Amino acid sequence: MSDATSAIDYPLYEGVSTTIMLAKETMHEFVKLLRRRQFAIATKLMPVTLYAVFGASNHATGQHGVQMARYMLAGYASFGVIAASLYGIGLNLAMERAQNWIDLKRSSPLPFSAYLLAKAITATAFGALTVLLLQLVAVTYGHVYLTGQEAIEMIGVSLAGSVVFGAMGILIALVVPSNATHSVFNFIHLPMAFLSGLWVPLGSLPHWVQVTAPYLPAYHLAQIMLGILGYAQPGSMGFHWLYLGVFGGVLLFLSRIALRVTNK
Amino acid sequence: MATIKYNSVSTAGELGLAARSKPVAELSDVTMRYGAALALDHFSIALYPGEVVGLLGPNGAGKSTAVNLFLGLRSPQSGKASLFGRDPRVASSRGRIGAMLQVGGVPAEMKVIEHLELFRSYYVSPMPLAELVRFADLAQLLDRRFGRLSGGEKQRALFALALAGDPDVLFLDEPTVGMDITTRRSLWAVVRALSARGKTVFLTTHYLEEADALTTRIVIINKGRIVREGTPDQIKRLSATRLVRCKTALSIDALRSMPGVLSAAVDSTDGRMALETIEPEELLRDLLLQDRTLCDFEVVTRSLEEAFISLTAPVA
Repeated sequence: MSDATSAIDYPLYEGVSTTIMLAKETMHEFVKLLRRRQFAIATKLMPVTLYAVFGASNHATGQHGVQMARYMLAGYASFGVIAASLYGIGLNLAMERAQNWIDLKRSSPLPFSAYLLAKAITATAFGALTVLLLQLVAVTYGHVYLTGQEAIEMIGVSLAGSVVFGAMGILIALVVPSNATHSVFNFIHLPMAFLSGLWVPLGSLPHWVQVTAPYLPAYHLAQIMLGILGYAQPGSMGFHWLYLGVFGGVLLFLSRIALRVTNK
Repeated sequence: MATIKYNSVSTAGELGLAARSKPVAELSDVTMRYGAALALDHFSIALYPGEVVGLLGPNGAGKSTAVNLFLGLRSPQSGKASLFGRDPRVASSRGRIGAMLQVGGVPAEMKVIEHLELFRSYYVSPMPLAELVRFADLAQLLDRRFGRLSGGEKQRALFALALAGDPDVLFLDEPTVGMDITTRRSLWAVVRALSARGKTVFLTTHYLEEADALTTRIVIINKGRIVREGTPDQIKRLSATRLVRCKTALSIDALRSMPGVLSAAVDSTDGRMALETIEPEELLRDLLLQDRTLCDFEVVTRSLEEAFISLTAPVA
């Protein structure tokens, strides 16, 4: 007489489509970051209010006819994109790693790539949102003249910037000990922004800063943004794109290695 | 004492499991080393449908490593891990399992219902929401953000996440830590109900009462190796000694000189004599022959705790 639990065969398990899982995960991440007060402050409130106070209100015209409010829009837009990626992917991932929440996600049927991608997409969306908010402040409060094309191009660049700084965020989240990640992100983000000329034009900064800035990825992102507005330093835009591409590629490569090592 | 190698497959065979079905999850001859420390040493274990298997061991014995290997969170340095015959590191292999791990925190901004819905969406046929809420007693907590839950409530929510997919195999890593006794008993009841449905449960715990109450098979692990394996009753009987308690007219010296008596002492709780022995039946025969006034006797099996301590004590 055969027992009810006779040999179990292992039917091939057809899972939920990865695309659907990714979509739901991304929505979930988006709502989560929307509700996270610290994230809102760091990525939206701070860049927007700082720009409103120091940038948009500056109706002066600088050297060579540079309209200050328009010039600074590029720097703050870069700042916003970097913040959204570093905190939206990097710190987010670091926190979930510290709490071991990441292991619970990894033990679920959600592919780990979808888990990371959901965070990346969400952070990118927030970066673009910040740029949009800055543009609104610029156009209304700052009386900046911005064409539709320029606005769209800036958003496009923000998407590319999110890839580079997202990779940076992931790498730091995986490599730096959990209790230090928050400090590391702050330490990288704010000084790097300043030293890359995102807030104060490089021309007004000490010589050593002007010399070291081109080694920083934030500098190149800002130059591309400035290029859209016609204010970039002399030099080819292609070089800036190349730098960001190589820098981003190296970070992604290192992140892959870090992932493999930490998942051992 | 030489270490007896217990192979999970042979014990399961004794329990009649292997004959009836294939294992739903298996670790085969797995070795894991973290630096100089050996977490698992040629460790093998198989889980069969309907079992509740408890993995017991001191801290650092390798319990969490075993769970991590089953879930695909770590790769075996040698040997193999499988879920339903497939590699647990592949996401689609985990479609029929659920896990409750020790997490320090959960995204606090999301409501309990949002977490539940997200995890349910990972599975083709998840557990119906109403049933899930009932199992984990979350009816009052659905709209609350995770950051606002108490410790015990968080554990219940994490338990619900493990059940969200209506899994065939449930992995629970120290599931009742921080739970009050009512919640703990409720969780036990759910585990028993799932086991009755033919689901498999793999549980690590350091609450011996929990292992005793819940499991159909206990595996005791120490320093990465299986030390003992069997049903809770088998474990309790296999280890060391039994205690014979009785009221007797014999003197304590006379008792101590009897063959088979390892130690004799007056039990402070009721004044009876407590005699430690490996063969209680022999001892009882001797006592009954020598003392016609012998009464109030009972033979006490060592508690699981005592068995566990004696099995995992460091070798002198």
